[in-house]
Amino acid sequence: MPTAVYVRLDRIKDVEREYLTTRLAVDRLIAAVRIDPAILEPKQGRDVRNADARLEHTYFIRLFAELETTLRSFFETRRDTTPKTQDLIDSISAMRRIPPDLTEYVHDVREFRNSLVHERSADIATITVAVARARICHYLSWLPPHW
Amino acid sequence: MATTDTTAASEQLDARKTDWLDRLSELINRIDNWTKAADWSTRKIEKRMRDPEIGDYIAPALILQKETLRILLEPVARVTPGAEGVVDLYLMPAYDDIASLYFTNGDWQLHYMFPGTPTVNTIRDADSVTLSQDSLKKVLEEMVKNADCSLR
Repeated sequence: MPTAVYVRLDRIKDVEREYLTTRLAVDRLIAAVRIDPAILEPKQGRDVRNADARLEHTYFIRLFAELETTLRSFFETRRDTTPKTQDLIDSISAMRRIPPDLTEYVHDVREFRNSLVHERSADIATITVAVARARICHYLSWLPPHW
Repeated sequence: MATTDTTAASEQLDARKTDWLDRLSELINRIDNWTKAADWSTRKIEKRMRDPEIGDYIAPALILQKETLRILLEPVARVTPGAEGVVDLYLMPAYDDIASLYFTNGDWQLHYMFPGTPTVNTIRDADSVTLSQDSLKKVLEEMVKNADCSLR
């Protein structure tokens, strides 16, 4: 059977693949609407523009949800508490001796996700889905194969 | 009659799954042998696959490692427009896309963006060569030279 950590990494890569496929679909739809605006109902034009503008952020939030689910799934096999996400990451980094720079990269991903969910944007560096996927997969590779 | 039809359809799906798994195993064994000969460490692993036509199944995958470089050879899809099978090569642990293999016209085609070649949108749009020990060696050597960290 596939290892637990590999199954999780694969799910995270799947989110990025779905994002890229949906990106392609939205780009194609926008191109088709330019040629024939009548393929959309009048108010759907606004929805398509919103979908286009928010697509990467929507998938970013999903990507982070996969990370958090994985970390909580691992953590609950080791401790009987439910820490907030910031503490969860720090606890697992300590448990698994994950390098501090990698932990910091994942905290940056968490902070960017929080800025999207809570609509806070001040001083938060934008992170793409591709960079977030790389950081998350790198971080999760420090978990044991099974838990 | 209906039972006969159902049985025949089920056998046909089983045959498609068997053909695909045989094709994958042959590919993985071939790459395993080639890379071992070039001093890579290899490890076969399993991947859970979902397929709307033939159902869920477990497929083989391969991890290649040389010094600090780790590569995953992973099946992606049994069928895709224009190809009867797709297998990707990823740089691990970041899961960065580096090359793809498409089974077309009875052989595996290796798609990889070599430095200096025109930039394309996806790896599938990159130039392709028929998979061989030499073409794979060339791609792996490029990766060893150009492996970069995608964390920033």
